[in-house]
Amino acid sequence: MRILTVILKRVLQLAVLALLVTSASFLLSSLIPGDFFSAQELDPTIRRQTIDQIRHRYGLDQPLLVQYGRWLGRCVQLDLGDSLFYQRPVRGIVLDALAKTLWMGIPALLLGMLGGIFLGAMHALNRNNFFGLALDLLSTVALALPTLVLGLGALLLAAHTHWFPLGSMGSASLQDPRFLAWFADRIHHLLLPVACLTLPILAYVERIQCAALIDLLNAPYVRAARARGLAQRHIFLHYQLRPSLNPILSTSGPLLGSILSGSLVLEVIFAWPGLGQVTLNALFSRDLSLVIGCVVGSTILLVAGNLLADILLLTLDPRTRVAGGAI
Amino acid sequence: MRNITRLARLLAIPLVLAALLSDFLSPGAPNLLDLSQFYAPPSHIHFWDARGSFHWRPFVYRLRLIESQDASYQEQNDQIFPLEFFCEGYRYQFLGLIPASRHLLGTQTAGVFHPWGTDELGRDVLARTLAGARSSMLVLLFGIALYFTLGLAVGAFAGVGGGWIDAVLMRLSEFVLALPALYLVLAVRALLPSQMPFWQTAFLTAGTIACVAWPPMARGVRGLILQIKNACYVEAARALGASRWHIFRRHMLPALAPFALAQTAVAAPVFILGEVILSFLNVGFNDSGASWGAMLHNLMRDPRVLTDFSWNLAPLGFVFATLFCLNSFSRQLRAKEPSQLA
Repeated sequence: MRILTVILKRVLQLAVLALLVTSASFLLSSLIPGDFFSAQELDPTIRRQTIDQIRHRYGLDQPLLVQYGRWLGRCVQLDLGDSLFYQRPVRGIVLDALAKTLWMGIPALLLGMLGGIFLGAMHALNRNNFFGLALDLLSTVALALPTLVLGLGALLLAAHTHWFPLGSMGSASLQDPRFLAWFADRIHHLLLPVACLTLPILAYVERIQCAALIDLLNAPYVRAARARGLAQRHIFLHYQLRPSLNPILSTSGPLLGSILSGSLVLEVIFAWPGLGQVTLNALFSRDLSLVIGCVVGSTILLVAGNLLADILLLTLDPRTRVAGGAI
Repeated sequence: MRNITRLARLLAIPLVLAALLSDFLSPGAPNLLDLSQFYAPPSHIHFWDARGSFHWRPFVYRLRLIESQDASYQEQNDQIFPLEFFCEGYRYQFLGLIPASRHLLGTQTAGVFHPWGTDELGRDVLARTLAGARSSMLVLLFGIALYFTLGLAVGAFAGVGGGWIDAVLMRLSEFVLALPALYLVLAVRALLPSQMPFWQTAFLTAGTIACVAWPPMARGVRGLILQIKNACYVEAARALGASRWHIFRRHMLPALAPFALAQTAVAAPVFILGEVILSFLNVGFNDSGASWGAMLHNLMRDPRVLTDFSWNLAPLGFVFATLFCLNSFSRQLRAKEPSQLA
């Protein structure tokens, strides 16, 4: 029951966010002088009437409110309009780009979360010896490294050692028709961007997980369990690790936003045709419907991430299932 | 942990000096083009000349381009250019106030001595990196001033105003927090003209980032005001007929100041990183207003920079060092925060 409420809440949130974001984008875009065809006005070989006709065809000569109303009407039918730059439906472009961003983002998120939880647990258990100190130092350095520096550093490594390709999603010159060869090539191109995206997440999750677990190491109920003679392994897994996952799961929603921001920079560095690149191109070419499509895409991704985090939290931490429980 | 903080403090001194004294420290003007010297390697400093005689004053040779395909250079050892301390060079304003023309180290002839080599247009990398430190510092100063004002103002309006003002401002802050920050910064940036003069870029870049970064500060300030609002001394002031503005200024502001200052310091690295990323994405400082991000953007066009002309990566080290300092300061402050609030 509780899960249904949470899903409903998130879907409502998505609707409100999307409405706000799109109306804000439309409003903001009206403040900027010029539109997609302004550049063509400078071209003396194109007649003024032609440009006006094209504007009329795309409805760009209509008042803003009319444009927004039309856009909303089509949006309800899951049609985000056409991109003027690519001459294709926005929905297809955004879904394509989103898939490419997730191709990099999901492995990074999984590795970062699982690895971070593991390392955080190791850190909490070894906090007084050399291993803990090393982890502490490493996570401090990793947290201070911005994605930009990390990405360019990785590119430097790739350029000097030739171990990794210099960006893009796959080799265009790949001749081997077998699926396995294609897949291996993709993975080879994926390694560096994912490593750069994972490292900050890993350090962040490690920090939070370690702090959460340390709080539980000597909690009264843990001592009680130990006094009853439960196995150390059982205590750790069920009494300490499971409840300690709460903080990291409740902060993992915003983490997805930071992945989107981080992957934008990495997409530029590694020439990765994901959502960030598409958004930047749309911004530069003043392709309004595509900009809004990208914003909607990233909003959906964010809300979906939050929803997933909520569901995980509800399944893993029974305390949150009680009515009025913290979520 | 304490050693890291000490290291950061030591590192911060040369960085601040580099930003303040950038013109004095650089051997040449940051925007001086010399297309015959593109991608020239860092100058070698010699003591012995081609005939084998020793010079007490170190000197450099002029470089001659032999192959423009891979930008290889040869030293012309027929003429020596001795290095001089406090050498006469291009004119500038020392600390932005005093007209001066002396530089820490250089040669009498301009455009010969490039301690960190040159970029693709033959501009001095050291001079540009130092000028970039100045741009970043400027954005940081504007940024924290705007962040402090904006965050405090929104938080104060929400906390003191209450009612629907509070509700609207807090929903707005949740909205800003819910969206991916970099996308939001880009959207705000898209409103501004793409080419702007240097000072305007610095101010508006800082403003753009502040527009997206304010919610934590505003929410914190609001929370504190709600706590103080019911304190006896505020109630007494209200009973004596003090205006809201007077209560805020005399009774609330002193209590808010420690939190607001600490929160500003915590947010400081965001402005440096934001400026670098925006310039790197070509929407911040442009090529002529030297900035670390813009320098790094230039080298994305030519992958040879990564292998053959790696001296162009100097800004990367500066970005890392600056962020390391600011992050460690902000972590130190965050650890202190609760006791300061009490």
